[in-house]
Amino acid sequence: MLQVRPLLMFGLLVASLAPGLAIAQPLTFENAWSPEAPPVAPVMAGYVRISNDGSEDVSLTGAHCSDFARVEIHDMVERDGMMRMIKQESLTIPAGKQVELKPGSLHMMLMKPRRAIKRGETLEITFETASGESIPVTFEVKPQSARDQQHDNHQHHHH
Amino acid sequence: MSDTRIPKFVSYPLIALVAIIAVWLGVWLSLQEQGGGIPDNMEATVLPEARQLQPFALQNHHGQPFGLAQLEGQWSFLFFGFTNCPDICPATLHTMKSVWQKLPTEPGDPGHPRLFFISVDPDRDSLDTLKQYVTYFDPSFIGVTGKLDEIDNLTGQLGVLYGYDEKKNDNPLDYTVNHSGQVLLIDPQGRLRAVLSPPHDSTTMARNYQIITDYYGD
Repeated sequence: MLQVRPLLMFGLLVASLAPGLAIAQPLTFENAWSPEAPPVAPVMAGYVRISNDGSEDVSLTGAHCSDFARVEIHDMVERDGMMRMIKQESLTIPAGKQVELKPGSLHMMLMKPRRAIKRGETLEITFETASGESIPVTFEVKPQSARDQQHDNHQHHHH
Repeated sequence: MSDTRIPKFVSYPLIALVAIIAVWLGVWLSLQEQGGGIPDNMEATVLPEARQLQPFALQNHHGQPFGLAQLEGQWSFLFFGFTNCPDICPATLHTMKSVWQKLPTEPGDPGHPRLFFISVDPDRDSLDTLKQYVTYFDPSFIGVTGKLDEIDNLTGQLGVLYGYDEKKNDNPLDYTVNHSGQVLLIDPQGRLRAVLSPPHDSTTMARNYQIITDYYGD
């Protein structure tokens, strides 16, 4: 019995730390936003800057949102003179690196909205990682004109 | 050899003068030639010779015919896309709205261009859907679509490409459309005048539009 006690204590200690470890996943999501779409639009886009401050790569394997039938991550590539949307089965954020989902590039494809989504509202999009974690991220719905500010910000960073 | 010698009365300064006049005359004539020259300092690709479009038969979002006649009388921007497009199409329509705001004229004014958003996805984009979609960006924008062979007729003439990804069996309406990102500028005679390639910037487009229309006239 004397042997079991420290083991039990150790077990409790690990169990109490586990949720802490899950919260300490290394990804940061910044500037998460979605341009308001025409009410009739069957799809919306989502943009976000994802940083991995950890020492290991993290793969995002999926995303979902209760306001949409389906959420996917797409890349936009220009090939043979056409813009092509390529569905990403997973998106890897390399250790110590940043991946930006932005207009004309990688983006979230939010499909079949279940309600009218207006500027000023927020969308809760949950990302799944390859290691089985769920990361909720709040996306702000902004007018289409917010694209211009994003563009300006983007240019500003390069100056 | 002596036959080809320059006669005594022709002095070298005279030859030089004649040469200068000839060059000047050549430049002057080329500038006078209608449709020959192209304005420079432009991001847009201006066609050396405007390309006359052949008849085509589509419908606008009011259900009215949209063909060559609807392109005549004003400058028109054409953009080909579809409403299931989350990124490029809304971004381009928003950019065109910003172009409108940067032009000195208002929509409906003489000299103000039109924007036609032509859906290459008529199976999913009804005229009513298109109307609600384009007018969200600007009330003056006009949605257009029609039968696939007539869409092909127009895209073929303009060098615009589009294609569908393989349609899945479980849901025949679940597919992606690949398409050219270019915006095309058509002159008031219904001729392709310039091609504006992505990434689109409203300031650049407004400036290019004004240079082109100033150069060629309304």
